[in-house]
Amino acid sequence: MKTGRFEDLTNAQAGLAAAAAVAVVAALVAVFFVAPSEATLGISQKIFYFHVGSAIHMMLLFALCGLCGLAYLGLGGRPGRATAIVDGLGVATAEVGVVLGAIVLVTGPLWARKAWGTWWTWEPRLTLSLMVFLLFLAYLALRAFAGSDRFGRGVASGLAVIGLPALYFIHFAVERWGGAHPQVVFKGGLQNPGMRVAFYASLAAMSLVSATLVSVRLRVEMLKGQLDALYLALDRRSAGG
Amino acid sequence: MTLGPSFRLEAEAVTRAIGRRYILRGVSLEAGPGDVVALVGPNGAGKTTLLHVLAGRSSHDGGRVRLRWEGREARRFDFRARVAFLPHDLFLYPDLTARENLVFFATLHGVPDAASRAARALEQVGLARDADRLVRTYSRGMQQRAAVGRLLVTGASVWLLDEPGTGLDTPGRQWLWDTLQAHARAGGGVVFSSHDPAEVGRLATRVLALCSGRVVADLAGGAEGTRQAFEAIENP
Amino acid sequence: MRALDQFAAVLRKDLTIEFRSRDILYPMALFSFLLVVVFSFAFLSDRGKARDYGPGIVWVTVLFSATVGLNRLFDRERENGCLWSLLLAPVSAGAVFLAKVVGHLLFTGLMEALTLPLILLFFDLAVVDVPVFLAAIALGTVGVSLVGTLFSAMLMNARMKEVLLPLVTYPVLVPVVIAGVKVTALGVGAPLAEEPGPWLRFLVGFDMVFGVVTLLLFDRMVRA
Repeated sequence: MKTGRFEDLTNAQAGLAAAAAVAVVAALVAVFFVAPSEATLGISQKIFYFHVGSAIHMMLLFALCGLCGLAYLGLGGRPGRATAIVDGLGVATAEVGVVLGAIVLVTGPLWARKAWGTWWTWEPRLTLSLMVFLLFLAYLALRAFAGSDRFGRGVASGLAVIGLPALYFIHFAVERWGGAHPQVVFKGGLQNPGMRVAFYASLAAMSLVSATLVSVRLRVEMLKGQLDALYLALDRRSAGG
Repeated sequence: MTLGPSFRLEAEAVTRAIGRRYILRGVSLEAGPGDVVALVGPNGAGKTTLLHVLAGRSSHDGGRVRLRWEGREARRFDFRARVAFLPHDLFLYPDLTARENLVFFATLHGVPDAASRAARALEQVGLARDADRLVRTYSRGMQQRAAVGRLLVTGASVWLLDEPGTGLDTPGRQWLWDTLQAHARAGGGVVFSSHDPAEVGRLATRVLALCSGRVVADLAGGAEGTRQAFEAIENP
Repeated sequence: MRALDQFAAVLRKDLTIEFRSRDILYPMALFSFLLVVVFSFAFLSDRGKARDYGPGIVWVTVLFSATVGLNRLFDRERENGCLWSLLLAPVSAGAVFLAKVVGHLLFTGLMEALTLPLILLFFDLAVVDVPVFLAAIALGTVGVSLVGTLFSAMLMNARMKEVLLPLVTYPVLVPVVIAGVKVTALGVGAPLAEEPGPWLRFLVGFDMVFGVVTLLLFDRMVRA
């Protein structure tokens, strides 16, 4: 077995990582050289490209994490390859999701300070991002402290599942509660073609980066499982069975 | 030999791993009407884990556990109605009296007329006079008696007991042995773990010797089988 | 109705034990009383604005005190491994879960009956719309009990469960707090340009959705 850095990744993952690196460079070029500076906000508007991309992917990862939890409970935690994949993917999405959440929660206030003159507002989407971040943290805390056995995994999966309807209710409640968020993308904003190119380029880059991180993390979990299986095989052989 | 329903609790090549170690490495056993199966072995041999797996409290990684009831495999709900477990931690509420505990478990098991069933069980386990004391105030031996009373009220056919002689005095052990034998004679099945050769020799119709999660001897009961089984676990 | 008998048996058992030990109700009541006292000093400065922050105090008190109860709700099932005696009996897990939820609701309801009048008294609040006020408390408490009981059962044996339980339940319960505060504010006559109807319907929806979800999840999670 080789121990080099790239041999640790499968070829597909290496390809994914390379594509992500190219996409990130391309997105940076698009954001800083293709897209024009916004008239009122100036250069700080460029935060938007990373902020929105992170937020969208955090939400997608959370949905994926919830589906993994559902599948895990559906399989009844029975040992096997399907359970291992679903379980590993749950951890991978949650950990990458926390990183994206941190990006969202740092860039959001930076933008807010420049655009609205305040660091934090309890506006619906920012609040929702905070809640997703908290749910991810709780998920990882359960995985860490509620036992790594089937019981701990069961609780964490349950939380991921219950998080999906919870987010719907949180969104609804916060929306009614009132607030203002720039409806740039979906309500016919982003007229400038340069801005649109930069936006979609950074979105694509974020997709590739997230996919790379999740797949690497999943692989780590699968390898851990394989290592445990090897130890078990060793245990069986040394005991003469 | 028996008049009760025909059944067979079967474990086939059960394995259970915790972390990177096997606790059970392919254990098989069977218990039907009239059978009293004793599990012997040193501490850490897997006796308790095996009982937990048989009862459905622990999961297993390989092999299977099933209950054949009148020729058909019992479903999960039926399984839990027919198989009762007395683990080391007793399964009794300390802040209820023995009577309240037994009435409660009889109700859970859907036993008709739970109160009189519980009263009869309390007679059988010799706690009729102390029935209305909190279980918390009992000695370990009395708690063990009350816990056997729980097995009686459930009406289960298969009893699984983890070191049931713990904490009992000499008359208490005698009573326990009589109770287990009476259950087997009435067409029930018993699987229990024990460190006591006298207990095993007296009760068991079959002795399974476990060492590091494996069956090292599977013998017929009686004095000779018991002696061989205890020899097997001393010199694995 | 087998499941109904089992539900009643588990609930009666819990009430009997609670009546003897009172180790859920007393801590809850004492803790909520202390919270109210601390709050009344913390907000001493501005009596006139009690209608603004009073509903928030009501819900923080309810949520925190309910958590105290949740932390202890399964303690009696932990001793002697009793939860497993329930799970290994031929009992539908749903009946056990609902009995636990109803038990927690009763304890929390008693705590609220003691504490909420105290909040009204200390902060000089008047309930102008009693049905709306009570509906908010009742519907919100049901939501707290449903979500809380599920995770309380699952974390029964966990390390640091006192920290994990709020960490896990509070994000899920945020909508209950938002809606609860809104409706309670309307109940004490805060000048808001809103109707209680939509928020109450929202709470009913939350309770219904999470009633089904937690019931389905409990069996799965506890045996996973």
